[in-house]
Amino acid sequence: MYWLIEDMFKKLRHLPKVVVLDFIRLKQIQVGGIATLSNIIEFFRPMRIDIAFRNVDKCEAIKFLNGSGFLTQYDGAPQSMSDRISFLPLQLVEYDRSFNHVHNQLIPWLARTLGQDERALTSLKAGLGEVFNNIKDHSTVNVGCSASHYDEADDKITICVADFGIGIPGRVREKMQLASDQAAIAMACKQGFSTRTTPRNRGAGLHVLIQNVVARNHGTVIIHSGQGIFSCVHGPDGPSKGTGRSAPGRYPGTMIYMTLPKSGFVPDDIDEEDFQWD
Amino acid sequence: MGLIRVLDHVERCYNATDGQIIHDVIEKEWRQHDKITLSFEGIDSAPSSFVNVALISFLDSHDFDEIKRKLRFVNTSSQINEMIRTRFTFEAKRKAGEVH
Repeated sequence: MYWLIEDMFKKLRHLPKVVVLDFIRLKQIQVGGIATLSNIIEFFRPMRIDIAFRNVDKCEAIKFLNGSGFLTQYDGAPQSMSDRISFLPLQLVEYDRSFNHVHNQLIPWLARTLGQDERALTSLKAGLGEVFNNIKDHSTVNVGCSASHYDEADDKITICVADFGIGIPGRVREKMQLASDQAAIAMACKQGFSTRTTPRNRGAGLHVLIQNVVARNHGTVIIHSGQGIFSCVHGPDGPSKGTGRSAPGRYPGTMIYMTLPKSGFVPDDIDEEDFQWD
Repeated sequence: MGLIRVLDHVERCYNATDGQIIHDVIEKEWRQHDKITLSFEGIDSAPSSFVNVALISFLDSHDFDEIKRKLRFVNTSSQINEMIRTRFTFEAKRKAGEVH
């Protein structure tokens, strides 16, 4: 993914009229790659650079490219009915549409996939809302690419939301200097850390997302932004505090990649609950 | 006792903009009532951006004990309850200098 991003941005220097994406050697792709490819295409679009596809139907990843809605979005190929169970198709989600996307598309698809009442997914709903609010508050762009997949054999749901905005390290460095991009992402995930990009913003969104996906539902959250990667996983002893590492390149924005094991999902209590302060 | 139905004022509890509207409604009622009840009827979840602006911002002008005496929440889901509780607890501790 990083190699592709670097190569594509190098091509920009020559301001080509057309960039050809040749898929012939693509063996495998996941929702992160789909969302990133989509962001690249959308990034090129206002520059009037056309993207052409070559050998899509000859590559080994054709099933995923098709099922994910990527080819529907960019090549007009119809998505099959069977793919609609395994995939929530790729979408470009403007912030103003994100509430609808989370509440009326993502959550119903997740509820069907998990075999749960939608009301049992309120923690996930809030967590996914945090992802889009994070884009709105911190990224300087208004659109995120969202793609989701359920792999039944692997018991795993993956959800990816990516944008090509300023990125988390860029925002954090407006407030403090940190040694690395991964340290900046780790800081952004701490409860209470806020870049105060909006008045009364108190910094809890990424922390809440990690709590709801990793601690509560035994999933993982991996954040790629700038030259850093920050991963939170649920190990045998419980949720990790998160691990940072250098990326093999630079992600020009932020990609939030979440996985949920279907068997590890913990439904929320669907009954109303009396509020107690303590 | 003042009763505020959230959905009388916003269509959703999703972000800081929605939160600001609810904050302003509560603020208007604050001096007029000993207790204010906020009903979340019809809402099943609320992200931190909403809760921070609608509710946590009262910690800037009131102490936590006063807020606990004043505000009541009804028709809430477990997610909303947990969000309100955990956000207030953390921010009240931060205000008291217990966390940085």
